[in-house]
Amino acid sequence: MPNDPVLSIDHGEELDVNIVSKSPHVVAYRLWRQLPQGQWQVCGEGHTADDIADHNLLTPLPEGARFAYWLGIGGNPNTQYRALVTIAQGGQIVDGGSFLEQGVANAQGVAEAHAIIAFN
Amino acid sequence: MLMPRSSFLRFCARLLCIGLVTGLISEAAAQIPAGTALDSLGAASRDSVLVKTAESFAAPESPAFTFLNFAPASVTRPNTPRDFVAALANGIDEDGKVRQGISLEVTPSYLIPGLGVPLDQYQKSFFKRVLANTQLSVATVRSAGDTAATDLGLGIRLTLIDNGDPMSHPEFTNVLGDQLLTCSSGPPDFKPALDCLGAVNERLRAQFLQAHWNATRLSVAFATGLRFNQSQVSETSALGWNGWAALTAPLGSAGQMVGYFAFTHRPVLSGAASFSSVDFGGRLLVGSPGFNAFAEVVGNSRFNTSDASNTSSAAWSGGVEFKAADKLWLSTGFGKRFGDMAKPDRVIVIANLRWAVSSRARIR
Repeated sequence: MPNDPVLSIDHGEELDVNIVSKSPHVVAYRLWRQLPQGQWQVCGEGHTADDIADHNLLTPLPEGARFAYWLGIGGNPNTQYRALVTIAQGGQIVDGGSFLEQGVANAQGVAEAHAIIAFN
Repeated sequence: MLMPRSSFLRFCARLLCIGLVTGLISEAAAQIPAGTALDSLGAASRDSVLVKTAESFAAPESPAFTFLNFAPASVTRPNTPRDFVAALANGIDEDGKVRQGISLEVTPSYLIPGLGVPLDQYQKSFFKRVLANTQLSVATVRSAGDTAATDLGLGIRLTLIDNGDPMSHPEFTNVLGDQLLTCSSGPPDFKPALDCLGAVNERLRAQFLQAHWNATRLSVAFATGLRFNQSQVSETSALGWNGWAALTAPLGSAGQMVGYFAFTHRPVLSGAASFSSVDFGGRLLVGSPGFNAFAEVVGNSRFNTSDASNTSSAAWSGGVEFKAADKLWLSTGFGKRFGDMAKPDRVIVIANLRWAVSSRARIR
Protein backbone atom coordinates (compact mmCIF):
# COMPACT_ATOMS: atom_id res chain seq x y z
CA MET A 1 0.00 0.00 0.00
CA PRO A 2 1.50 3.38 -0.96
CA ASN A 3 2.21 5.89 1.78
CA ASP A 4 -0.45 8.51 2.42
CA PRO A 5 0.29 11.88 0.81
CA VAL A 6 1.56 14.42 3.35
CA LEU A 7 0.64 18.11 3.09
CA SER A 8 2.19 20.99 4.93
CA ILE A 9 -0.52 23.31 6.23
CA ASP A 10 -1.00 26.24 8.56
CA HIS A 11 -2.31 24.57 11.72
CA GLY A 12 -3.96 27.75 12.87
CA GLU A 13 -6.17 28.22 9.86
CA GLU A 14 -9.25 26.35 8.70
CA LEU A 15 -9.18 24.25 5.54
CA ASP A 16 -11.52 24.52 2.58
CA VAL A 17 -12.05 21.17 0.87
CA ASN A 18 -13.79 21.52 -2.48
CA ILE A 19 -15.14 18.74 -4.68
CA VAL A 20 -15.72 19.46 -8.38
CA SER A 21 -17.04 17.20 -11.12
CA LYS A 22 -15.35 18.13 -14.38
CA SER A 23 -17.33 15.71 -16.56
CA PRO A 24 -21.06 14.92 -16.96
CA HIS A 25 -21.11 12.67 -13.90
CA VAL A 26 -22.50 12.94 -10.40
CA VAL A 27 -19.88 12.81 -7.68
CA ALA A 28 -21.16 11.81 -4.25
CA TYR A 29 -18.63 12.35 -1.49
CA ARG A 30 -18.00 11.88 2.18
CA LEU A 31 -15.11 13.45 4.10
CA TRP A 32 -13.49 12.44 7.38
CA ARG A 33 -10.88 13.86 9.70
CA GLN A 34 -8.85 12.17 12.40
CA LEU A 35 -7.09 14.00 15.19
CA PRO A 36 -3.83 12.44 16.52
CA GLN A 37 -4.73 9.30 18.50
CA GLY A 38 -8.38 10.02 17.72
CA GLN A 39 -11.18 8.30 15.84
CA TRP A 40 -12.22 9.03 12.27
CA GLN A 41 -15.08 11.52 12.25
CA VAL A 42 -17.26 12.53 9.31
CA CYS A 43 -16.67 16.21 8.55
CA GLY A 44 -18.58 16.67 5.32
CA GLU A 45 -20.74 14.94 2.75
CA GLY A 46 -22.89 15.72 -0.25
CA HIS A 47 -22.93 15.46 -4.00
CA THR A 48 -22.27 17.68 -6.98
CA ALA A 49 -25.71 17.41 -8.61
CA ASP A 50 -27.59 19.71 -6.23
CA ASP A 51 -27.53 23.46 -5.75
CA ILE A 52 -25.55 23.26 -2.54
CA ALA A 53 -21.95 24.45 -2.63
CA ASP A 54 -19.37 21.71 -2.28
CA HIS A 55 -16.90 23.80 -0.26
CA ASN A 56 -16.47 22.05 3.07
CA LEU A 57 -14.80 24.05 5.83
CA LEU A 58 -12.71 22.12 8.34
CA THR A 59 -11.65 23.63 11.63
CA PRO A 60 -7.87 24.05 12.00
CA LEU A 61 -6.10 20.69 12.28
CA PRO A 62 -3.04 20.02 14.45
CA GLU A 63 0.13 18.38 13.23
CA GLY A 64 -0.34 14.63 12.83
CA ALA A 65 -4.03 14.94 11.96
CA ARG A 66 -5.31 13.09 8.92
CA PHE A 67 -8.02 13.68 6.38
CA ALA A 68 -9.82 11.17 4.12
CA TYR A 69 -12.28 11.38 1.25
CA TRP A 70 -14.44 8.88 -0.56
CA LEU A 71 -15.98 9.61 -3.98
CA GLY A 72 -18.79 7.62 -5.60
CA ILE A 73 -19.13 8.52 -9.26
CA GLY A 74 -22.23 7.84 -11.33
CA GLY A 75 -23.10 8.55 -14.97
CA ASN A 76 -23.64 6.91 -18.31
CA PRO A 77 -21.98 3.49 -18.74
CA ASN A 78 -18.45 3.28 -20.15
CA THR A 79 -17.92 7.05 -20.15
CA GLN A 80 -14.81 8.88 -19.00
CA TYR A 81 -15.13 10.75 -15.72
CA ARG A 82 -12.95 13.35 -14.07
CA ALA A 83 -13.33 14.73 -10.55
CA LEU A 84 -11.13 17.10 -8.60
CA VAL A 85 -10.64 17.40 -4.85
CA THR A 86 -8.77 20.47 -3.65
CA ILE A 87 -7.58 21.47 -0.18
CA ALA A 88 -7.11 25.22 0.28
CA GLN A 89 -6.21 27.67 2.99
CA GLY A 90 -6.61 31.43 2.76
CA GLY A 91 -8.08 31.14 -0.72
CA GLN A 92 -5.03 29.28 -2.10
CA ILE A 93 -4.72 25.57 -2.81
CA VAL A 94 -2.02 24.27 -0.51
CA ASP A 95 1.10 22.80 -2.09
CA GLY A 96 0.21 19.29 -3.30
CA GLY A 97 -3.42 19.81 -2.28
CA SER A 98 -5.00 19.02 -5.64
CA PHE A 99 -6.18 15.44 -6.26
CA LEU A 100 -7.45 14.50 -9.72
CA GLU A 101 -9.51 11.33 -9.92
CA GLN A 102 -10.17 10.18 -13.48
CA GLY A 103 -10.91 7.04 -15.45
CA VAL A 104 -13.73 5.22 -17.20
CA ALA A 105 -17.02 4.42 -15.50
CA ASN A 106 -17.79 0.70 -15.70
CA ALA A 107 -20.62 -0.96 -17.62
CA GLN A 108 -22.97 0.02 -14.78
CA GLY A 109 -21.87 3.64 -15.15
CA VAL A 110 -20.06 3.92 -11.81
CA ALA A 111 -16.61 4.26 -10.29
CA GLU A 112 -15.19 5.06 -6.86
CA ALA A 113 -12.08 6.69 -5.49
CA HIS A 114 -10.68 7.37 -2.05
CA ALA A 115 -7.57 8.70 -0.35
CA ILE A 116 -6.12 9.40 3.08
CA ILE A 117 -3.98 12.51 3.50
CA ALA A 118 -1.72 13.34 6.43
CA PHE A 119 -0.83 16.88 7.61
CA ASN A 120 2.36 18.15 9.11
CA MET B 1 -57.39 -25.33 -18.54
CA LEU B 2 -60.97 -24.12 -19.21
CA MET B 3 -61.68 -20.40 -19.44
CA PRO B 4 -64.60 -18.87 -17.53
CA ARG B 5 -67.51 -18.03 -19.87
CA SER B 6 -67.10 -14.24 -19.57
CA SER B 7 -63.39 -14.51 -20.33
CA PHE B 8 -64.13 -16.73 -23.31
CA LEU B 9 -66.64 -14.19 -24.71
CA ARG B 10 -64.14 -11.38 -24.19
CA PHE B 11 -61.49 -13.49 -25.88
CA CYS B 12 -63.76 -14.10 -28.91
CA ALA B 13 -64.67 -10.41 -29.17
CA ARG B 14 -61.01 -9.40 -29.12
CA LEU B 15 -60.19 -12.04 -31.69
CA LEU B 16 -62.89 -10.70 -33.99
CA CYS B 17 -61.65 -7.16 -33.48
CA ILE B 18 -58.06 -8.07 -34.17
CA GLY B 19 -59.16 -10.04 -37.19
CA LEU B 20 -60.82 -6.96 -38.63
CA VAL B 21 -57.97 -4.64 -37.79
CA THR B 22 -55.44 -6.97 -39.30
CA GLY B 23 -57.26 -7.60 -42.53
CA LEU B 24 -54.28 -6.31 -44.43
CA ILE B 25 -51.95 -8.56 -42.51
CA SER B 26 -54.19 -11.56 -43.05
CA GLU B 27 -53.93 -11.09 -46.79
CA ALA B 28 -50.19 -10.95 -46.59
CA ALA B 29 -50.08 -13.93 -44.29
CA ALA B 30 -52.41 -15.86 -46.56
CA GLN B 31 -49.86 -15.57 -49.33
CA ILE B 32 -47.38 -17.59 -47.33
CA PRO B 33 -47.48 -21.23 -48.45
CA ALA B 34 -49.43 -23.55 -46.19
CA GLY B 35 -47.23 -25.43 -43.80
CA THR B 36 -44.74 -22.57 -43.43
CA ALA B 37 -43.88 -22.32 -39.76
CA LEU B 38 -43.98 -18.82 -38.31
CA ASP B 39 -40.31 -18.95 -37.47
CA SER B 40 -39.34 -19.75 -40.99
CA LEU B 41 -41.17 -16.75 -42.38
CA GLY B 42 -37.80 -15.06 -42.71
CA ALA B 43 -37.09 -17.35 -45.61
CA ALA B 44 -40.12 -15.89 -47.35
CA SER B 45 -38.55 -12.44 -47.25
CA ARG B 46 -37.94 -11.15 -50.75
CA ASP B 47 -34.37 -10.13 -50.24
CA SER B 48 -31.94 -11.85 -47.93
CA VAL B 49 -29.85 -8.67 -47.85
CA LEU B 50 -32.65 -6.95 -45.96
CA VAL B 51 -31.86 -8.44 -42.61
CA LYS B 52 -31.76 -5.07 -40.86
CA THR B 53 -34.08 -5.00 -37.90
CA ALA B 54 -35.35 -2.15 -35.81
CA GLU B 55 -32.54 -2.69 -33.27
CA SER B 56 -30.03 -1.73 -35.95
CA PHE B 57 -31.84 1.52 -36.78
CA ALA B 58 -29.14 3.57 -35.11
CA ALA B 59 -26.00 5.47 -36.00
CA PRO B 60 -23.04 3.30 -34.90
CA GLU B 61 -21.38 4.11 -31.57
CA SER B 62 -17.93 3.75 -33.14
CA PRO B 63 -18.26 4.56 -36.85
CA ALA B 64 -14.63 3.70 -37.67
CA PHE B 65 -15.12 0.17 -36.38
CA THR B 66 -18.37 -0.24 -38.31
CA PHE B 67 -16.77 1.20 -41.45
CA LEU B 68 -14.05 -1.45 -41.27
CA ASN B 69 -16.51 -4.15 -40.15
CA PHE B 70 -14.31 -4.60 -37.11
CA ALA B 71 -15.23 -5.54 -33.54
CA PRO B 72 -12.15 -4.94 -31.35
CA ALA B 73 -11.67 -7.05 -28.23
CA SER B 74 -10.51 -3.97 -26.34
CA VAL B 75 -10.61 -0.26 -27.06
CA THR B 76 -8.04 2.30 -25.89
CA ARG B 77 -9.55 5.48 -24.42
CA PRO B 78 -6.73 7.94 -23.71
CA ASN B 79 -7.14 10.15 -20.64
CA THR B 80 -4.71 12.88 -21.67
CA PRO B 81 -3.43 14.44 -24.91
CA ARG B 82 -0.08 12.81 -24.16
CA ASP B 83 -1.74 9.36 -23.97
CA PHE B 84 -3.51 10.10 -27.26
CA VAL B 85 -0.33 11.11 -29.07
CA ALA B 86 1.44 8.06 -27.65
CA ALA B 87 -1.36 5.79 -28.85
CA LEU B 88 -1.17 7.28 -32.34
CA ALA B 89 2.61 7.01 -32.42
CA ASN B 90 2.25 3.39 -31.38
CA GLY B 91 0.29 2.83 -34.59
CA ILE B 92 3.46 3.06 -36.68
CA ASP B 93 6.29 0.59 -36.21
CA GLU B 94 10.05 1.20 -36.38
CA ASP B 95 10.06 0.49 -40.14
CA GLY B 96 7.47 3.18 -40.81
CA LYS B 97 4.67 0.67 -41.41
CA VAL B 98 1.17 1.04 -40.09
CA ARG B 99 0.40 -1.47 -37.35
CA GLN B 100 -2.78 -3.54 -37.48
CA GLY B 101 -5.17 -3.94 -34.57
CA ILE B 102 -5.24 -0.34 -33.31
CA SER B 103 -8.62 0.68 -31.84
CA LEU B 104 -9.01 4.10 -30.25
CA GLU B 105 -12.01 6.03 -29.01
CA VAL B 106 -11.64 9.67 -28.08
CA THR B 107 -14.05 12.14 -26.51
CA PRO B 108 -12.58 15.53 -27.51
CA SER B 109 -14.26 17.38 -24.65
CA TYR B 110 -12.53 15.06 -22.21
CA LEU B 111 -9.17 14.99 -23.90
CA ILE B 112 -8.60 18.63 -24.80
CA PRO B 113 -7.89 20.94 -21.85
CA GLY B 114 -10.48 23.68 -21.54
CA LEU B 115 -13.21 21.77 -23.37
CA GLY B 116 -14.39 19.81 -20.32
CA VAL B 117 -18.13 19.79 -19.69
CA PRO B 118 -19.19 19.65 -16.02
CA LEU B 119 -22.62 18.25 -15.20
CA ASP B 120 -24.36 21.61 -14.71
CA GLN B 121 -23.23 22.87 -18.14
CA TYR B 122 -24.16 19.51 -19.67
CA GLN B 123 -27.68 19.99 -18.40
CA LYS B 124 -28.05 23.65 -19.34
CA SER B 125 -26.29 24.03 -22.70
CA PHE B 126 -27.30 22.25 -25.91
CA PHE B 127 -23.89 22.86 -27.49
CA LYS B 128 -21.98 21.63 -24.45
CA ARG B 129 -24.10 18.48 -24.44
CA VAL B 130 -23.40 17.84 -28.13
CA LEU B 131 -19.71 18.49 -27.49
CA ALA B 132 -19.59 16.13 -24.51
CA ASN B 133 -21.23 13.35 -26.52
CA THR B 134 -19.07 13.75 -29.64
CA GLN B 135 -16.96 10.65 -30.14
CA LEU B 136 -14.04 10.10 -32.48
CA SER B 137 -12.93 6.60 -33.36
CA VAL B 138 -9.80 5.31 -35.07
CA ALA B 139 -8.98 1.74 -36.05
CA THR B 140 -6.58 -0.23 -38.20
CA VAL B 141 -7.17 -3.75 -39.47
CA ARG B 142 -5.67 -6.19 -41.92
CA SER B 143 -7.12 -5.58 -45.37
CA ALA B 144 -9.56 -8.20 -46.59
CA GLY B 145 -7.82 -10.39 -49.15
CA ASP B 146 -4.40 -8.78 -48.70
CA THR B 147 -2.59 -9.67 -45.49
CA ALA B 148 0.25 -7.23 -46.20
CA ALA B 149 -2.02 -4.20 -46.54
CA THR B 150 -3.63 -2.31 -43.66
CA ASP B 151 -6.95 -0.46 -43.64
CA LEU B 152 -7.37 2.64 -41.50
CA GLY B 153 -10.81 3.88 -40.44
CA LEU B 154 -11.64 7.30 -38.98
CA GLY B 155 -15.06 8.10 -37.63
CA ILE B 156 -17.08 10.72 -35.78
CA ARG B 157 -20.42 10.37 -34.05
CA LEU B 158 -22.60 13.28 -32.94
CA THR B 159 -25.61 12.91 -30.67
CA LEU B 160 -27.59 16.01 -31.52
CA ILE B 161 -30.66 15.26 -29.42
CA ASP B 162 -31.16 12.70 -26.68
CA ASN B 163 -34.10 13.42 -24.43
CA GLY B 164 -33.70 9.93 -23.00
CA ASP B 165 -30.28 10.67 -21.49
CA PRO B 166 -30.73 10.51 -17.71
CA MET B 167 -27.66 12.65 -17.06
CA SER B 168 -29.25 15.62 -18.82
CA HIS B 169 -32.15 15.63 -16.32
CA PRO B 170 -31.43 17.39 -12.98
CA GLU B 171 -34.28 15.57 -11.25
CA PHE B 172 -32.55 12.28 -12.06
CA THR B 173 -29.03 13.32 -11.13
CA ASN B 174 -30.15 14.86 -7.85
CA VAL B 175 -31.72 11.60 -6.71
CA LEU B 176 -28.73 9.66 -8.05
CA GLY B 177 -26.36 11.77 -5.94
CA ASP B 178 -28.39 11.13 -2.78
CA GLN B 179 -28.53 7.41 -3.46
CA LEU B 180 -24.86 7.03 -4.37
CA LEU B 181 -23.95 8.54 -1.03
CA THR B 182 -25.68 5.66 0.77
CA CYS B 183 -22.97 3.35 -0.65
CA SER B 184 -20.12 5.23 1.01
CA SER B 185 -17.41 3.23 2.71
CA GLY B 186 -15.00 4.80 5.16
CA PRO B 187 -11.40 4.94 6.36
CA PRO B 188 -9.10 3.38 7.08
CA ASP B 189 -10.13 0.29 5.05
CA PHE B 190 -12.55 1.73 2.46
CA LYS B 191 -14.35 -1.51 1.69
CA PRO B 192 -15.23 -1.74 -2.03
CA ALA B 193 -18.56 -0.04 -2.75
CA LEU B 194 -18.67 -0.58 -6.51
CA ASP B 195 -21.39 -3.25 -6.40
CA CYS B 196 -23.62 -0.99 -4.32
CA LEU B 197 -22.96 2.01 -6.60
CA GLY B 198 -23.68 -0.09 -9.70
CA ALA B 199 -26.91 -1.46 -8.28
CA VAL B 200 -28.10 2.06 -7.39
CA ASN B 201 -27.29 3.50 -10.80
CA GLU B 202 -28.81 0.58 -12.70
CA ARG B 203 -32.03 0.68 -10.68
CA LEU B 204 -32.52 4.43 -11.12
CA ARG B 205 -31.57 4.32 -14.80
CA ALA B 206 -33.96 1.45 -15.47
CA GLN B 207 -36.81 3.45 -13.93
CA PHE B 208 -35.86 6.54 -15.91
CA LEU B 209 -35.40 4.71 -19.20
CA GLN B 210 -38.72 2.92 -18.79
CA ALA B 211 -40.42 6.29 -18.39
CA HIS B 212 -38.53 7.76 -21.37
CA TRP B 213 -38.41 4.67 -23.61
CA ASN B 214 -39.72 6.56 -26.64
CA ALA B 215 -37.89 9.87 -26.11
CA THR B 216 -36.71 11.92 -29.07
CA ARG B 217 -33.20 11.05 -30.20
CA LEU B 218 -31.21 12.22 -33.20
CA SER B 219 -27.71 11.03 -33.95
CA VAL B 220 -25.49 11.24 -37.00
CA ALA B 221 -22.18 9.61 -37.83
CA PHE B 222 -19.57 9.69 -40.54
CA ALA B 223 -16.60 7.46 -41.33
CA THR B 224 -13.95 7.28 -43.98
CA GLY B 225 -10.70 5.42 -44.45
CA LEU B 226 -7.49 4.67 -46.26
CA ARG B 227 -5.77 1.51 -47.40
CA PHE B 228 -2.02 1.40 -46.83
CA ASN B 229 -0.61 -0.87 -49.52
CA GLN B 230 2.11 -3.07 -48.02
CA SER B 231 1.21 -1.14 -44.86
CA GLN B 232 3.45 1.69 -46.08
CA VAL B 233 2.40 5.16 -44.94
CA SER B 234 3.39 6.60 -48.32
CA GLU B 235 1.26 4.20 -50.40
CA THR B 236 -2.42 4.87 -49.84
CA SER B 237 -5.75 4.35 -51.57
CA ALA B 238 -9.08 5.85 -50.49
CA LEU B 239 -11.58 3.36 -49.05
CA GLY B 240 -14.69 5.50 -49.58
CA TRP B 241 -17.01 6.71 -46.87
CA ASN B 242 -20.18 6.06 -44.91
CA GLY B 243 -22.75 8.37 -43.39
CA TRP B 244 -25.56 7.51 -40.98
CA ALA B 245 -28.52 9.35 -39.46
CA ALA B 246 -31.08 7.96 -37.04
CA LEU B 247 -34.11 9.63 -35.49
CA THR B 248 -36.58 8.35 -32.95
CA ALA B 249 -39.60 10.31 -31.79
CA PRO B 250 -42.53 9.57 -29.53
CA LEU B 251 -46.06 8.93 -30.77
CA GLY B 252 -48.02 9.99 -27.74
CA SER B 253 -47.08 8.09 -24.62
CA ALA B 254 -47.56 4.61 -26.05
CA GLY B 255 -45.90 4.79 -29.44
CA GLN B 256 -42.63 5.45 -31.14
CA MET B 257 -41.48 6.10 -34.66
CA VAL B 258 -37.97 5.41 -35.88
CA GLY B 259 -36.28 6.58 -39.04
CA TYR B 260 -32.90 5.45 -40.32
CA PHE B 261 -30.79 6.47 -43.31
CA ALA B 262 -27.31 5.35 -44.30
CA PHE B 263 -25.19 6.19 -47.31
CA THR B 264 -22.20 4.18 -48.50
CA HIS B 265 -19.67 4.92 -51.20
CA ARG B 266 -16.87 2.55 -52.17
CA PRO B 267 -14.35 3.20 -54.98
CA VAL B 268 -12.85 0.52 -57.23
CA LEU B 269 -10.38 -1.28 -54.98
CA SER B 270 -8.48 -4.57 -55.21
CA GLY B 271 -10.57 -5.68 -58.17
CA ALA B 272 -13.90 -5.00 -56.41
CA ALA B 273 -16.40 -2.84 -58.29
CA SER B 274 -17.17 0.67 -57.12
CA PHE B 275 -20.67 1.48 -55.92
CA SER B 276 -22.81 3.81 -53.91
CA SER B 277 -25.72 2.62 -51.85
CA VAL B 278 -28.48 3.91 -49.66
CA ASP B 279 -30.08 1.96 -46.83
CA PHE B 280 -33.22 3.26 -45.23
CA GLY B 281 -35.71 2.08 -42.69
CA GLY B 282 -38.74 3.24 -40.80
CA ARG B 283 -40.70 1.73 -37.98
CA LEU B 284 -43.88 2.52 -36.10
CA LEU B 285 -44.49 0.82 -32.77
CA VAL B 286 -47.45 1.19 -30.45
CA GLY B 287 -47.97 -0.69 -27.28
CA SER B 288 -49.95 -1.00 -24.10
CA PRO B 289 -49.99 -3.56 -21.30
CA GLY B 290 -52.41 -5.67 -23.35
CA PHE B 291 -51.75 -4.83 -26.99
CA ASN B 292 -48.71 -4.26 -29.20
CA ALA B 293 -48.35 -3.58 -32.92
CA PHE B 294 -45.58 -2.62 -35.27
CA ALA B 295 -45.07 -1.86 -38.95
CA GLU B 296 -41.66 -1.57 -40.51
CA VAL B 297 -40.09 -0.99 -43.88
CA VAL B 298 -36.45 -1.47 -44.81
CA GLY B 299 -34.92 -0.81 -48.18
CA ASN B 300 -31.68 -0.70 -50.07
CA SER B 301 -30.66 0.88 -53.34
CA ARG B 302 -27.27 0.22 -54.93
CA PHE B 303 -26.33 2.55 -57.76
CA ASN B 304 -23.39 4.07 -59.67
CA THR B 305 -21.86 0.60 -59.84
CA SER B 306 -18.85 0.18 -62.10
CA ASP B 307 -19.99 -3.31 -63.10
CA ALA B 308 -23.60 -2.34 -63.90
CA SER B 309 -24.94 -4.35 -60.97
CA ASN B 310 -27.40 -1.72 -59.76
CA THR B 311 -30.13 -3.14 -57.53
CA SER B 312 -32.99 -1.81 -55.52
CA SER B 313 -35.28 -3.52 -53.05
CA ALA B 314 -37.58 -2.90 -50.12
CA ALA B 315 -39.49 -5.08 -47.72
CA TRP B 316 -42.34 -4.58 -45.31
CA SER B 317 -43.06 -6.39 -42.12
CA GLY B 318 -45.61 -5.96 -39.41
CA GLY B 319 -47.43 -7.65 -36.64
CA VAL B 320 -49.96 -7.35 -33.87
CA GLU B 321 -50.38 -9.18 -30.61
CA PHE B 322 -52.76 -9.00 -27.70
CA LYS B 323 -53.08 -10.46 -24.29
CA ALA B 324 -55.98 -12.90 -24.30
CA ALA B 325 -55.52 -13.92 -20.68
CA ASP B 326 -52.88 -13.96 -17.99
CA LYS B 327 -49.67 -15.40 -19.53
CA LEU B 328 -51.44 -15.96 -22.84
CA TRP B 329 -50.43 -13.75 -25.77
CA LEU B 330 -51.64 -14.25 -29.33
CA SER B 331 -49.69 -12.71 -32.19
CA THR B 332 -49.80 -12.67 -35.96
CA GLY B 333 -47.86 -10.84 -38.61
CA PHE B 334 -45.79 -11.06 -41.72
CA GLY B 335 -42.30 -10.36 -43.01
CA LYS B 336 -38.71 -10.96 -42.01
CA ARG B 337 -38.75 -8.97 -38.78
CA PHE B 338 -41.81 -10.74 -37.47
CA GLY B 339 -40.23 -14.08 -38.35
CA ASP B 340 -37.09 -13.10 -36.42
CA MET B 341 -38.93 -12.59 -33.14
CA ALA B 342 -38.74 -14.94 -30.20
CA LYS B 343 -40.18 -18.39 -30.85
CA PRO B 344 -43.81 -18.83 -29.85
CA ASP B 345 -44.80 -21.68 -27.56
CA ARG B 346 -47.04 -23.08 -30.32
CA VAL B 347 -48.93 -22.08 -33.45
CA ILE B 348 -52.65 -22.40 -34.05
CA VAL B 349 -54.85 -21.62 -37.08
CA ILE B 350 -58.03 -19.65 -36.52
CA ALA B 351 -60.13 -18.33 -39.40
CA ASN B 352 -57.42 -19.22 -41.90
CA LEU B 353 -54.88 -17.12 -39.97
CA ARG B 354 -51.84 -18.52 -38.19
CA TRP B 355 -51.58 -17.27 -34.62
CA ALA B 356 -48.56 -17.66 -32.44
CA VAL B 357 -49.32 -18.50 -28.83
CA SER B 358 -46.83 -17.34 -26.21
CA SER B 359 -46.69 -16.91 -22.48
CA ARG B 360 -45.26 -13.40 -22.86
CA ALA B 361 -45.24 -10.48 -25.31
CA ARG B 362 -43.07 -10.99 -28.42
CA ILE B 363 -43.40 -7.48 -29.91
CA ARG B 364 -41.57 -4.94 -27.76
